[in-house]
Formats: sequence, structure tokens, C-alpha cells
Amino acid sequence: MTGKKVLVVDDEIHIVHVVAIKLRNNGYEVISAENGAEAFQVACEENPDIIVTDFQMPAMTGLELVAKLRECEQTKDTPVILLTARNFAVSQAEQQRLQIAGCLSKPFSPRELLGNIEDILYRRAVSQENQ
Amino acid sequence: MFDCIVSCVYDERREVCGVAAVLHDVTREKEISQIKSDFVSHVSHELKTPLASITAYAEMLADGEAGDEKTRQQFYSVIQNQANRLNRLIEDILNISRIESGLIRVEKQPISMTILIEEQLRMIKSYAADKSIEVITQKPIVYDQVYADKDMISQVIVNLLSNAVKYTPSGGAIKIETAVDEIAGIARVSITDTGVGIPPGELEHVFDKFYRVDANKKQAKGTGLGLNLVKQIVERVHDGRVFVTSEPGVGSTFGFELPLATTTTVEAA
Repeated sequence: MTGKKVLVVDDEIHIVHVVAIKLRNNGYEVISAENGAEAFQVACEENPDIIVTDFQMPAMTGLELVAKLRECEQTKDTPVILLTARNFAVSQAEQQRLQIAGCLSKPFSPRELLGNIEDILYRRAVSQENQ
Repeated sequence: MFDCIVSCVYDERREVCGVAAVLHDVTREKEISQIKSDFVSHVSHELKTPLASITAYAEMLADGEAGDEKTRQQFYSVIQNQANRLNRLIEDILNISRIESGLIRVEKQPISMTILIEEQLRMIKSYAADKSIEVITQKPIVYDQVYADKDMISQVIVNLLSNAVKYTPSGGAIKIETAVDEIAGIARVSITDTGVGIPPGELEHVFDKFYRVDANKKQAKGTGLGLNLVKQIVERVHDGRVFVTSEPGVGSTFGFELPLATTTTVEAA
């Protein structure tokens, strides 16, 4: 999955940094945003392969961001992983409705996040090959 | 909202002759339960945020993901700062909780607001100088003694002063004023900054627990508890009053009023 582009969204700059370093060390290209509005704009301009976003952010929550991404032709199918400090913040039904590919609880393991990203992108590549 | 218990009423032949219903108004209990649940949820989120950084950076160090010594030092520094943030949060939460439950030990004594402010200013001046912020004080007022817990009011002054420095851009100014209204029997402290200011719609919430002005989050880090602690100490512990006025882009004035120490209050101690 080397060379794939990941958009990391979090208002906590330390989280963006740590995720970016983990992903870059493993061959990914990383772009970032610190709020939902900026993330939506970056997603439309840069067309990332996958988005990792925090759930609770000022002005626009991660869930609101995903809802907005799903309404946009360019980003409607982009896989999204939600990072949340609130357990059970997003129901299974909500995850299915918004096609959220994965949910990780904070504190999270960068190792586990990388594994999830690789898994989601691999499954996506296989499914696209089969189509 | 009511809890309802319904029971049959039997006569002497053990036949049902009526129904008794007991309604218990649980509206307040439900509200309190919701407030508690929201608080716990909010606290856990606030605690998990620094914890997330600590565990992620520690794992990165353990996995050898920090490529060079400089990066390793940055990671150590993030862990240390986030651990300090966690500690501050826990301290603030505990202090607010102790005040709310009435368990905190309060040691009131007659103290001069001017002297107390001067003591706290010494601590904040180097922080202000680092940002080239001018600190303007007035001439001491002759009598501004309040009957208060010295440590707690020091905490109030430090929180307000450090907020003023935090949210004032370099080259700005902070003005500290003390006034005494002998007729009303109060001493008033105002701290005015030339900072970023607070939008009108958010002003009424700035003393709420965990409330942070969205537009100003980038400006400085904070737990969102400092101003709530100020309010609790001033209003709940000292029967005083906090106030705030602000104009975005111009600055804010935060302050508080405390009852003046009178002969009666001091003798009553």
C-alpha cells in the first residue's frame, strides 16, 4: 500500500504528528487538517485514499464531516476511520449508514491504526480488482 | 417525570375492591443523573485526550519509530507535557469536586488584595516579559482587606492573570485594577487585556466546566476548568461574584468582587 495518500484530521496537533510519523515511516503520503471544515476542503482538493479523523472536534464533529463527505461525489466512497475518546459514541447503525470503515478508541495504538489502514486499503483494492 | 407504583386493594373477603397508585416525582433525580452522566462522559474524554498522546508516543519510542535523537527528545517532551496536562486536569477536577461537595478545607483570614496581587504578579511577570506584554498596575489602595482563604484567592488571581497573558498577542498589555466600594462593602479586582476577545454568544458560557471558546483554542492550551474553578472559589466559597466583558479583537476584562473584611467578620472567626 506504499504511496497511498492518508488524510489525518485532529484538533490535537500531537495526535496528527504521531500518526503522520507512523504512516510516513511505513511508506504512506500524509496530509493533515485540524478541523472538519478544513478536512472537507482538503479531501475535495487532494482526493486521499483513506481518511483518519477524530470524532470530537470544534465546529464540526468527525461524524458531521463524514456525512458531508458522503454527500460529495468525489469523496462519497472514501474510507474513513474514526478515532474517538468516547466509547459507544457511534452506533453500529450509524457506522453502517455513513459507511465508516473502522472505529478506534482513544487511547489508541498507532501500530493498530496502521494495521487497520492496511487492511481496509487491501480489501478495497481486492474488491476493485474483482469488479 | 413520575415513577408509578400500582397495587390492588383487597377487602376483608380478599377480593379486589380498588386500585391504589403512588406517583413519585423523579424529574429532579433524572436531571441530576443526566448531569452526572454528562460530567463523567466529559471528564473521561478530557482525560483520554492527553492519555492518547502519552500512550501513542510511548509506543512509537518502544517500536523504534523515532528515527534520530532529536525526534526521540521531541517524543519525550510530548509525553512529559501531556503527563503534566493530565495532572493539572486531575488537580482542577478534584478541587472543583471538593468545593462542590463542601469537603474542601477553607481557612479564611483578613488579607489585602493589593499585596496578594503583587505576590502573584511576580510569578507571572517573566511569562508576560517572554511575550513582550506590558503589565500595568495602579497605586496601592490604602484599605482593601477581604476576609478570604489566601491560597484559594491566589489561585483565582493566577488563573485570571495567566489567561490574560495566554490570550494576549505579543506586544499587548494587561492592566490590573483594584477598587473598593465601601458602601456596598466589596473589593473589586479587574484584569483587562488587549487579547483576542470572546464572541458575544460565548461570553455567558466561559465560566462553565470544560467550556473553551472555539475561535481561541489555537491561541493557547487549557483544560477548560480554570475559569470554572475561579467561579467556584469566588462565588461558592467566598459569597463573591465573578464578571466578564469582552470585545472580539479588542480585549477582555475578567474580574471578581469579594466582601470586604469588616470587624464583625474577623471577630466572628
